[in-house]
Amino acid sequence: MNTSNGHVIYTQGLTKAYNGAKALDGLNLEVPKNSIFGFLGPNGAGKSTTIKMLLGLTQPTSGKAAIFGRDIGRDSVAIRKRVGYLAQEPRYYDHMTARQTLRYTARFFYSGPRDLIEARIEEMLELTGLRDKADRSIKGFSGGERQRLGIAQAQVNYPDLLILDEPAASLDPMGRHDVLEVMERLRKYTTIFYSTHILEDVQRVSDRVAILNHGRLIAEAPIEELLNGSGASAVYSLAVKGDAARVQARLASQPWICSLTSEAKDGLTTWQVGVTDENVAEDQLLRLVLEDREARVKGFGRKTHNLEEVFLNLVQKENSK
Amino acid sequence: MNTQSKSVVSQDLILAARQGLIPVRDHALGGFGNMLRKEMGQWWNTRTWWVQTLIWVLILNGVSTIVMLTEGAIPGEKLTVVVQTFLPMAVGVVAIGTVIAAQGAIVGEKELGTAAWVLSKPASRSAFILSKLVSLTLGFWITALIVPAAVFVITTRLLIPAPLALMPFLAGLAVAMLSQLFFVALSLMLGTIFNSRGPIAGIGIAVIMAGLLLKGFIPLVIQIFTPFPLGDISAGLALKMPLPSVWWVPIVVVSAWIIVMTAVALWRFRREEF
Repeated sequence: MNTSNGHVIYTQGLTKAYNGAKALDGLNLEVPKNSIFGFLGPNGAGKSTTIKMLLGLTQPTSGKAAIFGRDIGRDSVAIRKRVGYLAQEPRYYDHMTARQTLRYTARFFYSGPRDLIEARIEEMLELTGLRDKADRSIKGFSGGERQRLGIAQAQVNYPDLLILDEPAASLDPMGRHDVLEVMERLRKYTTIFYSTHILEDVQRVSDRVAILNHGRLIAEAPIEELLNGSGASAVYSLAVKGDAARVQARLASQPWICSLTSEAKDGLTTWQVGVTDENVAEDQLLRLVLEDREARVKGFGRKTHNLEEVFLNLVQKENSK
Repeated sequence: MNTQSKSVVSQDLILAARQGLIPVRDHALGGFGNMLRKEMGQWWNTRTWWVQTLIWVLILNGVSTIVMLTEGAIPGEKLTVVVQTFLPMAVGVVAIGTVIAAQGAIVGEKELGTAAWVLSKPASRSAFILSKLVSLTLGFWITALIVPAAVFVITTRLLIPAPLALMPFLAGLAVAMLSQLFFVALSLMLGTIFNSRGPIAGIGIAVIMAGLLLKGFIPLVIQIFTPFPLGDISAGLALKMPLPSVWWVPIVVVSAWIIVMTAVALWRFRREEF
C-alpha cells in the first residue's frame, strides 16, 4: 500500500475556516495502517469537518492531506475507491430497499459479474443482520437499522480504510456491541478511522486516539500512553496508615516530585504523587515511605486514568487557556 | 508529503480479483452509468412514467382534440389551428411541468444528504449533474412530448381529413424538445446555485410567464436571444408557414444557453461544500 510515511491518513496543517472562523485549525495527524484510530472531541470540535475534507466533500482552506499517499484534492475519486464511509446521520434514497441500496453502492465499485455482486450484497446483509429486511423499503427503517445498512454499504467494496462518523451513536447497547465487534473483526483487513463521543467504546477497541477541541488537536497518542498519564508527568498513588505529616514532609522534600495531593479518610491517607522522573520514582518512592517505621503502606501503584478523565482533563485545560 | 500517484495494487483490487469481481474502469464521468440507471429507474420502474404520460396526454391531447372537434369545417384551416394549439402549448406547459419536476432534483438531494452520500463513493460531481440532465430530459421528452405527439398525429388523421406532413411536424416537435431541455438545464443550474426550491421554481416560472405575457412587448431583436419564440417557430416549422428570416437564431441561441447553463451547473457543483 502506498502511504505517506507509512501512514494511511496523513494531514499537515489542515485548516478549514467558514467566514473567517476556523472549524479546524492546523491539524497534523498520522493514522497508521491497520489501526483502529479513535477521533474524539466535543460537539463542534471539527471531527466531521475533518472527515468531509478527507472524502473530498468539502475543501480545505489551507494545509495538505493525503490518503494512501494520494492528495485528497487531486486524487479524490481514486481515494474513494478504496474507502468505505459511514456518515453521522446516514441518508439513503427512501424509495429503495436495503438490497437496492447495497446494489447501487456496489455498482460504483464493480461492473460485474452480476451474481458475484449479488453474493457480496447477500454477505453484507448477513453480516449486519438485515437479511430479513433486505427487500423492505428503507423508509420505514429505524435509526439502528439505518446504521446497520450504513455499515453494510461502507464495507461492500472491501475498503482499505473505513471512515466512520459516530458509528454507534444511535444504537442500543446490543447494536453498539455488534458494531464494535465488526470493527475488531475488520482490524486485520483494514484501517478504521472513526469519530465518536462514546469514550467507553474508544477505550475498548482503539489503538490510537486523537482528541480535538475547538478545531485544534490537543492530544494524539496510543491509547495506553494516554491512559497512563496523558503523556504528561506520571502520577503514582500511595495509601498510607500512620503519621501523615511526616510522610508528607518526606515526599515534599524530593526534587523529582512535582505535585502532591492528599486525601485522608478513616486514618488512611492517600497521596497522588506527580513525578518528573519515572525511573527515580519507581526506584525510590516506595522505599522513601517505608523508611518511616511507623508508616504502613496500604496501597501503591502507578495511577491509570480512564479515558473519560483524560478527555475531560485535556478539554478543560484547553478551554481554560 | 508523499502524494506521488505511482501505480500500486490496492488491497480491494486483490480481494476483488480473488472474489472475481470486476472493478469499474476509471474515467472522468465515474459513476455516470450507475447514477443514470438509478435516475431512469425512478422514471421507468415506478408509476412515474404512466402518471406523467397520462397527465400530458390529458392536457395536450385533451385540449387539441376539443379544438379539433369544435373548430370550423374547412379541414386545412382546422389542421392549422390544432397544430398552432398543440405545439406552442407543448412548449409552454411542458416547460412549467419541467421546472416543477426539476426544482428539487439537486436541492432535494443536498437537503436530504443523499448527494453527500453518493459523492462519498467514487462518483464524479459532473456525472451526478449530467445523469439528472439526461434522465429529466428523456423522461419528459418521452412522456410529455413524444407520446402526446404520437397521439396527436393519430387523432388528426382520424378526425381531420387534411393530411399532416410528418417530417415538418417532427421538426416542430424537435423545437419543443429543445425548449424542454432549456428548462431542465436552467432548473439544474439554479439548483446548484440556490439551497431552496423557492428561487428555482420562481425564476423558472418567471422566465416562462415572461415569454407568454410579455412576448408582444419585446422587440424581435431581443426575443431572438431568448426561448420565447420557440413555440411559434415549432408551429411554423410543422405547418411549413413563412417564418422571419432569423427564425434559426433562437434555436442556435437556446442551444448555446443550454451549453452555458450546463457548464455553469457543472462548475458550481464542483465547488459545492457538503
